[in-house]
Amino acid sequence: MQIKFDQVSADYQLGPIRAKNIIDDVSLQIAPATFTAVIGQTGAGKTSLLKLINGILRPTSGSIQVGEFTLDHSANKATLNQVRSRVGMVFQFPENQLFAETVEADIAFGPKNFNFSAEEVDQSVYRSLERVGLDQSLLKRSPFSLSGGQQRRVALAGVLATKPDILVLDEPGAGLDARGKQEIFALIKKLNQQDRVTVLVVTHDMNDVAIYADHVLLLDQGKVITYQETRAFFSDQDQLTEWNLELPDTLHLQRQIEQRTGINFKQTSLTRTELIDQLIEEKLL
Amino acid sequence: MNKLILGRYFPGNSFLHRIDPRAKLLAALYFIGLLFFVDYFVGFIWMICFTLLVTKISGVSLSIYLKGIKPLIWLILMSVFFRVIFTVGGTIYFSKGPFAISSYGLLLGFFSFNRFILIIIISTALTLTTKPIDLTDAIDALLKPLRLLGISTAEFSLMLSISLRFIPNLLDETQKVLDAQRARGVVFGEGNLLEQMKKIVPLIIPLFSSSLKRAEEMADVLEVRGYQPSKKRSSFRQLSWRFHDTASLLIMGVLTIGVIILNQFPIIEQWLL
Repeated sequence: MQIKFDQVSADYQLGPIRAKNIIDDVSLQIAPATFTAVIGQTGAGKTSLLKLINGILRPTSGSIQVGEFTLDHSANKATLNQVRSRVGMVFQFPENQLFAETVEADIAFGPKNFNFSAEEVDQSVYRSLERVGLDQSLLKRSPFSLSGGQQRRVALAGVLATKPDILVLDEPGAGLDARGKQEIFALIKKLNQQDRVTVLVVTHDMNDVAIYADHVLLLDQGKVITYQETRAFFSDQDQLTEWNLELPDTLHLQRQIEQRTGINFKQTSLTRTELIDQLIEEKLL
Repeated sequence: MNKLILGRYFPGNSFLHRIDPRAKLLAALYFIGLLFFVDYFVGFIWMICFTLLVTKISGVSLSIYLKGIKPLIWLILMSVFFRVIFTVGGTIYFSKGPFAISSYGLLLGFFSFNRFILIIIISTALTLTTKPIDLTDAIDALLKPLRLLGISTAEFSLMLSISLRFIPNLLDETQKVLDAQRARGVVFGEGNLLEQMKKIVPLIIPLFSSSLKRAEEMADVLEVRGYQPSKKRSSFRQLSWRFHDTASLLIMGVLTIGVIILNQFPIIEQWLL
């Protein structure tokens, strides 16, 4: 599904404190089946942007088009719920939302809320458990008896079980070890490529951006600084310096090799394979 | 959740904000006690005037205080209602079985209504102008005499300050879990009472689990750092008693004298009954 922001502004409210324009006049179009990395400093509005797509946060002005639904300031509960059934949102540390007595019941919670039939619920529970790489023997266990990494997967499965067309994730790798994080990202990438799910991921790790994302969305103080393809984004060194962004490891290595040898590579390498290919091409290997 | 005013602190620099929390707490408790010694209508006018003055000084608009009363208004009206219909005296306007509406009943109902409202306003004024942490220090200070009896007040005040400290975190967390379950298709505030109660489960259990986890971590950290509340220790925040703190307690004396004098004049009552 396509997502289109049309001059969207939004406030953030926590208790009596109200942050004005945490999203400030954003217009943006995200094509279906793309994998977008949302980056920016703390307080840039990354999470709020994801919440807007899911209808958790309503815009103060402007409107968001999600597939055939329009979300604006006066969107009613029915529309919001319909949007939520199409958009899966994985919050930061999603294992904190587990509550049911068994893993099975927890994963089935979303599909049941969105009125899946009993068969569909069963089916999607098994399918999403398999997707996140957990064994079926866990189904009858209490989610609270699992390890942190497993809990994270169960929570993710709970979101995938609603079969979303759009998946928005807020730092899905936070607090996981390198391997666990890689597995989660690989899983999301697979969903994106095989099921053509539109993905938006908030992340702070430029390596994840380079390896997995095909688009980068840079936010600052609620405004879109840039939205472009990943390779183009990392190719413009001057811009990256101006935005004060770190380079992904492979690209950092490439730039150093270029500096030392004086040879400028033809392409910006985003993955190790790409870097090796170019090294061979330049006869450095 | 965001509407609860009682217990919330509004930063500011009014005279009320600057009074020592011990003085404020004592004065508030004294005021509440004093309310029960007011016998006549004029006395209540006197107390209302004082309360309005306090709200004025606090620098917080009266509408905020009224918002604080709102969630409790039905509870108040109900108890006032029972007070009215079960009290008989003076002119009886209506009666049926044990119930009656009389002039005396109405007057007493009015009195208890006033007491409720004034208690809420004064305690709201206390919490609006005092940081929770200062309030705990004040409670700790006022409980000190109990130590002579061998009761460990330090543990109690540590408990109190920890729980107050984590209220914002809990609110924050509630909002997060609320959002997360909404994203999974829960529509809060819909359906009949039973359905609504069921929807609370996915909200309460994650909060319980994370609170317990945090409590355990907190206990570990306290232990690792060798914290023992029963030991005598110095305090990071020092409370200093100044002249205006004494003065504010003297004002309570003035208020009391006013009540004693006005208790001699049942002016409205004589005219009514």
